[in-house]
Amino acid sequence: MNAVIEARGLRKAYGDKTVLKGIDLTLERGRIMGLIGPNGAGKTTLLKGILGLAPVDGDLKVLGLNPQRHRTALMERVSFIADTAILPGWLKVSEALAYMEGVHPRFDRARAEDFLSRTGIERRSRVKELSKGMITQLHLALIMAIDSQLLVLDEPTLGLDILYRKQFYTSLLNDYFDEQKTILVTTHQVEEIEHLLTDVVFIGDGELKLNSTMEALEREYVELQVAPEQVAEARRFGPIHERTLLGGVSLIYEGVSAEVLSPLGEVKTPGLADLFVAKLQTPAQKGASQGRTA
Amino acid sequence: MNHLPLPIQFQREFWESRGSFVRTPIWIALVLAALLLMGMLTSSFEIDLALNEWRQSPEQMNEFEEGAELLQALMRGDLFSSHPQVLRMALAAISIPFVFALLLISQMYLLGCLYGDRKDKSVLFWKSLPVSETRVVLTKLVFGALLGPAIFLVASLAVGLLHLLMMLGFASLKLGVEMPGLGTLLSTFVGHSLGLMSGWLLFALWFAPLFAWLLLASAWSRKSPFLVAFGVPVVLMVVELWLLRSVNLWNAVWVPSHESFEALVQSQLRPWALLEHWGHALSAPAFWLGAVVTAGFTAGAIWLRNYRYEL
Repeated sequence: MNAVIEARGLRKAYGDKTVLKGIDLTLERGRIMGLIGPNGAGKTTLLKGILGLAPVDGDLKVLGLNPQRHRTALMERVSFIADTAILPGWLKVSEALAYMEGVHPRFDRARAEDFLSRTGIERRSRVKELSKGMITQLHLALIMAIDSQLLVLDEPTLGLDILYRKQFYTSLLNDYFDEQKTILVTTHQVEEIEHLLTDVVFIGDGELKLNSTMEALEREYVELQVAPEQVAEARRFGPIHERTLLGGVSLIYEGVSAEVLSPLGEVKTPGLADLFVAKLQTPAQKGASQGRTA
Repeated sequence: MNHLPLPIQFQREFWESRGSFVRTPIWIALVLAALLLMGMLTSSFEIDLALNEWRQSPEQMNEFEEGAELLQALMRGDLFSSHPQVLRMALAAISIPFVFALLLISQMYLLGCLYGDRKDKSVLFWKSLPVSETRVVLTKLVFGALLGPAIFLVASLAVGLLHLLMMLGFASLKLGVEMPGLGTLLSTFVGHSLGLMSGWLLFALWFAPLFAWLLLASAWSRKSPFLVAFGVPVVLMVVELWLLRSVNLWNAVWVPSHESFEALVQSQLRPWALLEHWGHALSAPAFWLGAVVTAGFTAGAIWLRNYRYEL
């Protein structure tokens, strides 16, 4: 078994509010999976379960370990950055390096120093003296210098400006990722990670709404753009979603081949953001949007 | 402070609490040293005047009653040989401000240490590293009760030694008092040092259930660890008194508080009776009961850190 994450029937309820309704998820080594969902969909709960930060019911193994019971051992092989994991203001950069070196057997100090040397961050600075962008760069330098088997990123670029965000993902792909590593990333900025994912999972209302590799997704889903007079014809193929464009309509199909649709108009692979809307809209919302376009 | 020969986990605590446990004792030491120097310079003049007066009319000295004997010994020049406790008191007096500051600081540290990282949201960063909460909590307990205080005690001994030397120099050069032998000086200083160290250790062991309670309050609190630490016991005490007409909870707090302070004071007043102080503690059921309570509170803090760390 090569799976980094193996989850079967994960459930979690807070009081009478069920936030995870039986999630099955497998993540193989060497993959980059995007976990995409609206706020309150259960994303954070799922990640907390995977990282052993909160108990979840069901069968969950991360690198063969029970995350809750073997959290400390797991953290030697798994690293994470959460949007709510903030470096403490009193910490000096030099102390952060010394501490990581002291407690983490897989931390490579030279590598962290190398990442830091490309930034303007000084060793004697305290975290509270750094800008938000610099703090994220420092955090990333610390985490990327860990030779971990699974990296979990929860909204890693939240609050960063666009320059840093681009840099972040470039650096992640060029300096960190290789076939021995696995990344699980969540973000609201779907467009930013779309091109680097190998797998994508949509989560909504505590359930997985989509769980696919990017290759399978390209075969399975087709977006068709047609002129208004072709809409009626296009609807006969059963689109799962449609939206009005400037001078036309865009329809998304599931399991309809591109060859069948191409005579009607322009055919392409839908973007993750559009697909996300298509898959996560409630029937009521769907009815409303179709009513508008009709 | 980057290269203390300590496990990294303790170094982290020093980095975080540098102000409390490193700078504070250094400042107290500097201020005390300055005060001692100033005091010596101003009193030098006044003592001269007073001594001359007393030499002319010794009957005035009786106004000082208890101090009269000391003054006579001072004037005769055999103060240190007839009253060796003066040397001990010179050392003990210096440790008082250090111990008071330390009591305040170690309690503030323990009250804040499992709350601060949750408040500034760095807790998830610490939790992303392979360090168990058991290790985190035990480190903080040992640091707040013993390792952090060690710096205070060392600073107190350094200023105490300075005080002793200044007093001896002043007494012999200015007042012509006969110097005590080196053996007396050494045994007094070593005795005081051992008494102080052993006294704090005994204090910390007696006080441990209360220290651990502060840790538990720190891990438990969502808004104000101070309110949890002091408010909860006070409310429970009032409820107990009202419903049961008993004061068991008050006693449960009072016994370790009283015994711990008693141990600290006695170790200073009678440093030669260290074994007696330890014997008293180790044979007291309350001491061992306190150890069990300490273990319980600490386990509670560890559990909270694992399962209820979110604010």
